[in-house]
Amino acid sequence: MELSSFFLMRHEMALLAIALILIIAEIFIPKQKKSSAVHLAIFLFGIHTALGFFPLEENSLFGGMFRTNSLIHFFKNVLNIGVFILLLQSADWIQEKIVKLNRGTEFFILLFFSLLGMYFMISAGDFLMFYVGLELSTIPVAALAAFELMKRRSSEAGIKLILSAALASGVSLFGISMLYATSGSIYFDDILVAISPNNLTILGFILFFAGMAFKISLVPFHFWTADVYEGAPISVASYLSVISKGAAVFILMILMFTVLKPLMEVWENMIYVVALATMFVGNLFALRQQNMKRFLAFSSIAQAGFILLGLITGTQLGTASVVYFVMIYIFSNLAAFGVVQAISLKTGKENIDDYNGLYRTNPRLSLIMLLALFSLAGIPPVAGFFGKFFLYTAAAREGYYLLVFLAVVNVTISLYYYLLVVRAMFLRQSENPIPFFNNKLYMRLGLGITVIGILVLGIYSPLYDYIYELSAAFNH
Amino acid sequence: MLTAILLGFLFALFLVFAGKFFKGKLAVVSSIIPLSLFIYFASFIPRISSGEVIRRTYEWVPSFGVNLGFSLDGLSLLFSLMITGIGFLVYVYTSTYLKNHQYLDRFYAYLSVFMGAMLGLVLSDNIISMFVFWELTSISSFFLIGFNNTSEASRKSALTALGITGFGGFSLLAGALLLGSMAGTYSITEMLSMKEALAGHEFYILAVIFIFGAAFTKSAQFPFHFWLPGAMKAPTPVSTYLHSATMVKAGVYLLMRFTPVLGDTNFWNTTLISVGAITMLYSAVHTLFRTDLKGVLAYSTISALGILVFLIGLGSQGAFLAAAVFIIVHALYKATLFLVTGVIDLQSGTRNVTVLAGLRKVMMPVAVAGILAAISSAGIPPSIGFLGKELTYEASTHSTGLVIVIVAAIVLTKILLLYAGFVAGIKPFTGKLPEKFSEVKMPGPLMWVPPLLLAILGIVFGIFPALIESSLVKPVVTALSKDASDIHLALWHGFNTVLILSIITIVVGILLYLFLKPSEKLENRIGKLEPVSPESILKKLTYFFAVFSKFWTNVFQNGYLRNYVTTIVLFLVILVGYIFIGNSRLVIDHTQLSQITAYELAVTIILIGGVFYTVFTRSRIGAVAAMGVVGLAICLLFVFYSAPDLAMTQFSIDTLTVILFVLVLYRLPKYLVLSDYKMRIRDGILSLTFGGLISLLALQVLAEPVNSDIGDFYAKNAYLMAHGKNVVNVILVDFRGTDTLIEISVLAIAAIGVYGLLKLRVKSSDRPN
Amino acid sequence: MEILFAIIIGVLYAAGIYMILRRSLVKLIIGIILLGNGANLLIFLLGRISEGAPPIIPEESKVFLEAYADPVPQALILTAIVISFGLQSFAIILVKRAHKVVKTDDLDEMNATDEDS
Repeated sequence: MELSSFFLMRHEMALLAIALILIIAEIFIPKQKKSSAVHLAIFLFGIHTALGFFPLEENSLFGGMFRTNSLIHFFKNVLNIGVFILLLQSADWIQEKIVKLNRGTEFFILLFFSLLGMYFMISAGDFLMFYVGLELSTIPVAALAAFELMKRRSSEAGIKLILSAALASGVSLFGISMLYATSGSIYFDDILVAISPNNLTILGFILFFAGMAFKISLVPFHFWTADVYEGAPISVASYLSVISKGAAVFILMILMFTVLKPLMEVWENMIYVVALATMFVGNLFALRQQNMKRFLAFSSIAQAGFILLGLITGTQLGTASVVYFVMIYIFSNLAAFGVVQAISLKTGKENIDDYNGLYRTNPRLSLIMLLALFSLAGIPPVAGFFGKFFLYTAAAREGYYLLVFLAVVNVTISLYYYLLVVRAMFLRQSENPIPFFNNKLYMRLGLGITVIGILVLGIYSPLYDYIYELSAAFNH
Repeated sequence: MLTAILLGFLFALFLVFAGKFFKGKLAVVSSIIPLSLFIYFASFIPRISSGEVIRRTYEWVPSFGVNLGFSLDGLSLLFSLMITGIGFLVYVYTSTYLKNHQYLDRFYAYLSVFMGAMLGLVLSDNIISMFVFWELTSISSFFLIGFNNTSEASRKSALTALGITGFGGFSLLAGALLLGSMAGTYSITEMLSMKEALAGHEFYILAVIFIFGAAFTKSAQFPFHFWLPGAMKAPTPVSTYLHSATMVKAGVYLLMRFTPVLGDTNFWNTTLISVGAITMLYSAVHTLFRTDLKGVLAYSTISALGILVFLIGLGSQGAFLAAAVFIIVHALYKATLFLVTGVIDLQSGTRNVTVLAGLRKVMMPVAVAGILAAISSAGIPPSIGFLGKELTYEASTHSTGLVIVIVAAIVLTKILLLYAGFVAGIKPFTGKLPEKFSEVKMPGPLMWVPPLLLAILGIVFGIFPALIESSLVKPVVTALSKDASDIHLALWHGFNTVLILSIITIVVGILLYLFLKPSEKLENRIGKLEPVSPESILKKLTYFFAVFSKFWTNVFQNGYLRNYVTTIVLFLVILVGYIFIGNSRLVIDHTQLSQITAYELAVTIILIGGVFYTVFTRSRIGAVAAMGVVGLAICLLFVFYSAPDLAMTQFSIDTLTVILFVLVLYRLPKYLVLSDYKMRIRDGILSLTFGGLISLLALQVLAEPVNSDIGDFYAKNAYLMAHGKNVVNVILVDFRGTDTLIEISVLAIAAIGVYGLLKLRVKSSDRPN
Repeated sequence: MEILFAIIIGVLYAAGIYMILRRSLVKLIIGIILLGNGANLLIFLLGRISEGAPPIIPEESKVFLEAYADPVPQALILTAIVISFGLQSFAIILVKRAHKVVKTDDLDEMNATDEDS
């Protein structure tokens, strides 16, 4: 093995290095200057994100345990951008609330390790690597969810998350072991050859899928989502809904489209049902939510249902649409969470009613929120529409007309509750509106990038074609 | 052409930055935008009337077959001219109407976005881009309707409008996707050649329903009509522009656009005729009961839209001709009436028809505009309205099927519309000027010239129909795939049935106007029917939906973790049970199994006993200790069955866990039995089922043949490649070193997490009470 | 013996699920540990158990001469045990700290939803 082939793990090594630098920095930065760790972390991660865009050759390492190709590489970059935006949006919160507790650096370290786990998870070439990556990505998030431990809800969120995660990974591991038992290998390439749709394999797949469904919060494994999002710090909820979900969707898709393709007849039906249930349940719950975080939690469940539209296809078009959708979803949801974060930090208000009359006092924030909600609802011409449109088309090409139709019905339902927030901001008046405030530089940057993403990604069409080409990697 | 569409958006963007310059006197300058667009589109008239269709295609997402295709034919030209022409007048009018308004620049920005979207909508050849623009018109209209957002009613109606048209938009999307996959293209031009195939397609009806859903909501057809009167709460320029001349006609446009593709089938025609007829009659009757000028106009607009839908449904050349002329007629007189109403409202402070009278004395030019428009709306010669009505009657009398019903419906509608037109255009100006209006002033010329211009055009076109014949009307009929060469527009058609119907209409209508005075009493009477109106029914439905969703949320998302777990386990049990029991037979090959020794039996008994003790004991320490015993028993099993490494790991981890438990948890409160008896039984049954299934599953796996290539590979190469003899160790530290590295990271992270938790001092002040 | 193994696994799973469905947080963690043990044993069983044949190459030899236990499941279980220890220890500490804040061991008191927000 050449030393240069380690270069394939560039993302992972760089991130590990950043985490280690931060651990060392934690020791050397004097106590009264702890907040400078925030700048350091954002700076380092910014460089990491930028460097990530250098091309990477396609190959695998360690006898196939670790693989990378241009789509995986692209997706890691997408995750990086998402985390970078998230860091920008969280910077103020960390500086104002967390540094006081002397836990600023810890936040970044945990976050980066979780991201590292996701890198490994999506680059995994076998189930063992996948499993450890999954665990590495989960445990830090549980620690993060309970970060504001002195708040009752935060610790509750942490407990619910860690217990759900433990259950999920247990179920997943069970599924993996059944797949191993029937195929005789843990390597994806070998399993693809050995697998056939018999009972045990199907059960193995279902259990594996159930574990992943926890992460993506698909019905009926979605229960933890709202409680955890609500209790966890906003940054963490945002991370869970965007990065964690995105990565899980991606790896699940890769596995289904390659390794588990022989089981397609089984998972087609299953995903059909789960997709519908997820969309309807997410939307139905979202209608009644008063708290913005819970509201976004359920809306993100419904969004997960939409993603399944692409997963059900098993085609290159499906892959491209899912990646594209996830990318746009990252921008849209981060924009929404960013606004919630900014408002919550300044005023501590998190309810939809608190947003009454926001447009009068904070027109910029409410316009960003409007864009984000329109994008989530899939209203043209913002990016979210195109994301959904490609998913519809991908599914319709495979003949899932009814599913697409029901998805469109769901979009209409979702329009209703997204408009409730719009109504609060633009049309309602309030005795006691959120006063005008200016955001700090990091938050502005964090919101600005999402706005550009929402406005430009949809219209800039070559991007979609580019993703489509990359998607050939997983569809032979 | 793309530039023309984008101009509106660019101007809006420009206003965002330079808005403050356009608030004062310069506001009227912004009307250059629609004017220049109007001239631009007018310059296409010669080419279009010679039968040319101008197309532009811009590549967008080629891999998906989605292009930005635009085409300009007779139909889109007519609409473009209407959008920009009336747009121009509305821009001019607004500069005075909303003079010195705090957000005038914003208003212009919304208006420009709307205009751009509307142009995009009528010029798109691609259904997807059409949908994009369609939704944009809904969104920009949302802001325009809600512009007066200090008033509660205005805001509510803005939301209703957006909700209804948004719903229609998604119906269009569904239709577009379906049509796209039926035809293999999103281009309407390309679909033209597939008419036969589409009409015979199994999803034809569904596609048509989706298109109807979009068109009926946007064009306020029964039962979706109710958003339009509500939306009239908007400032008058908005009502003029959106709710009479352009946006509400988008649905009509859509139907006309798809007529050559999907039309001419029984389903298409019958539905359109029925819905159109119901709408036109229903809302024409409603005009009798309104006292608000805008209310009268709103319902008469809906009725006019109904007529258009009805005409499209008739589907003959004559009907299309009538529709084309009627679109022009309606745009001219209805816009005039709205603008006139705006003037009256602004100057006199009321729109109540019962009190308005004699205003001609103070605002003569406005009165002239109103009266001319009323004449056109009534279809009295020599206005173009007369021509429109004649053509409509002509088409109805030549229809097939229930001719008498059709003709009766249209005549009745026209009579009622005549009444509505007179109420709006003549009533406020005639009679004695009440005392309180004597101080009412004449508005600035920018407000009365636009309506007057439109009203005069209505008469000019009536006298010289040749002006619009080949330039506007014929190309529309051509665009609808009908031969237009024999069309000749003339005011005088000879003495025939149609003329008799016309005379009846005019006479009865005028009599109705003279004898029936609008009053609040009548308005109250129809108010009693409110509970059964489509609007109330929809509201009730949404309410029930909300209640249901709340109920559902409380039942399932109740915050109890174990309820969540119960649901999930139950789901898994059912799913696994279904697959397992449905498809497999359990065969156990006893010869393959290993013998049970006494040690093993003893260990097993200890293990199961430990598990039971853990579950049922009431002492926490006892439970933890029993759990430790279970762990150790498992450790022994590992020893028996050739897994020394596992045994060692299990032993140390088990011990550590027990120690951790004891150290950390000894101060927790008493280990209570919290659940009641019933719940425990239920949980017990559920978990035993689950455990049982797992056992069966395990046995089932054992019946499968063994296959471990990968294990063999490691075993063979452990020493040869990695120079280690303990294969498990070699795998962990050599073959799969990366995994182990990550594993270590997991532990490190858990340690950091634990450290973070421990170092945090929970202050008593942070605790909840 | 395989049948006994299967029964043990079933018992562990059943007990684990039952404990998870209890209201006490401590019981919940114990439940998860039992479940984890069950899963490990299951993997072990699925890799086929064989007596007295550890996957260790004899002293004097470079390759296996006779049948040996499949090493891959063992590696898998080893990883799983270690990782679940990380998970469990964190959970235990978290419960402990949360207890300090929330003052309860009863999960039913951790059900903040819309109702009280």
